[in-house]
Amino acid sequence: MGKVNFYRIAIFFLVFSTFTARSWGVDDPLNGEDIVTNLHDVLLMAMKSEKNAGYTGRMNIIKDVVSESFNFPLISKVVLGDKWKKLSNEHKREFVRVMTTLSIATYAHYFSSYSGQKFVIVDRKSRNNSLALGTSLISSNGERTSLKYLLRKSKNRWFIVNVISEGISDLSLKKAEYSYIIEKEGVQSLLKRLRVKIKALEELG
Amino acid sequence: MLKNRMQLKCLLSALCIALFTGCASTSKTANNDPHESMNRKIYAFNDTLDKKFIEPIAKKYVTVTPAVVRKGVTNFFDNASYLNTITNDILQGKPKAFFKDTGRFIVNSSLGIGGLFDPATSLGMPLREEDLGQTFGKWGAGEGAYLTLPFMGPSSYRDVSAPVMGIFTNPLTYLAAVVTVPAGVVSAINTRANLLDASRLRDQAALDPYAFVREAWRQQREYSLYDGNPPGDGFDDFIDGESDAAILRIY
Repeated sequence: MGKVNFYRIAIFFLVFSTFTARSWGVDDPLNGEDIVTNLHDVLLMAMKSEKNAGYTGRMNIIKDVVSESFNFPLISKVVLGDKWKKLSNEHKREFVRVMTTLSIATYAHYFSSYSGQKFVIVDRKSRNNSLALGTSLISSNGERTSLKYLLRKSKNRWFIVNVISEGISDLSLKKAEYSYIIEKEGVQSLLKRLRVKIKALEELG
Repeated sequence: MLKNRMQLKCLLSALCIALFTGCASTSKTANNDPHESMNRKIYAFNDTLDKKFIEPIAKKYVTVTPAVVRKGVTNFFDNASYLNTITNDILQGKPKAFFKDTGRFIVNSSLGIGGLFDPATSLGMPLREEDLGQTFGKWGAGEGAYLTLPFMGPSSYRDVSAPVMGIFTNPLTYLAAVVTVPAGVVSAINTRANLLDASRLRDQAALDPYAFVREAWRQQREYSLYDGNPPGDGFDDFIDGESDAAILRIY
């Protein structure tokens, strides 16, 4: 299976990344579309850096974008559902931190090379503080992968809160997985497992 | 795109063996997975079998078979099983898809030399997939409880009979066993080989592979049921509602 297809499948399992215009030295984005466009630009930049930058280099390229453009506190709350309320504030903060790091690591690992891919925005639905932005990742051979971004405005700023690829919601996947682990093993075990996953991605490069 | 969607689905729904269970009533749980305990055991069994035997064979197959040959093998088996899609086009009342899929089958069977090549895609007749589970869904059947089947992987009460129809509509089924059996083995190995990247990604990404596969399979299945365009796409819930739950599910 070629690199292009690898990306197509990888994207099913991937998640958050984004970037804030701040990283690019411009004013805060005025709308949610800018957030997603900027995210795509940074992803392409990381992909084009390829082996020159290495895993650490790609991490550095995307980390600000990911940490500032996704609403990780809200994402964490949604993913853990009822279990969120039962966590101590310390655990909540730690969970948000780990989720952020995992997302950065995931992008840095999977978006590791470039072979002519490009992102395009295909549709947009918005009202008040919510925006659903349909985009496509187009491979060099013309294959399209549907990526829908859900954004919410919070404190006058847009944040990505979920990514749906080809009908598969990343948050739903995480919720299904994490709920079971917390229920059976507790939050400490979940955090430990997430850290192991981050370490594994780092070692894979 | 459809091809890869199929590959993901194949990863999740696994190799082809016919099995049929009745559509008993579903005792709902939060995950609509009342058989979770048993399902997890079967998942572990399937995974062990895969890791110990099937995956190593598939890897070996990839190393000794040129990509162009694997592509031809994939095309051939896709084409051989295409009458299943065509039949379900009829059952779902999709005349346009029926004619297009029939055209694809004829073109690839003739110009494509028995399906080894896929000229139909470049002629505007891309690969699609319909099966009996999707047909039941179109007819209004709910998914029913989630199931993990031995050797097969993810399924549900609604979808469990789909492979049976797949077998009966496949012309290879009616050939002599001396042909059918080796063909089935090659098809299974080739399918698994096509999923090596996907399963590696699953192994890297999932904390709880069982829950990951269950959720991904269900969502992908629902998406396929409506050919990527579900009627209520969830946008209104997300845009109008401020609830957290609306963030989780949208197409």
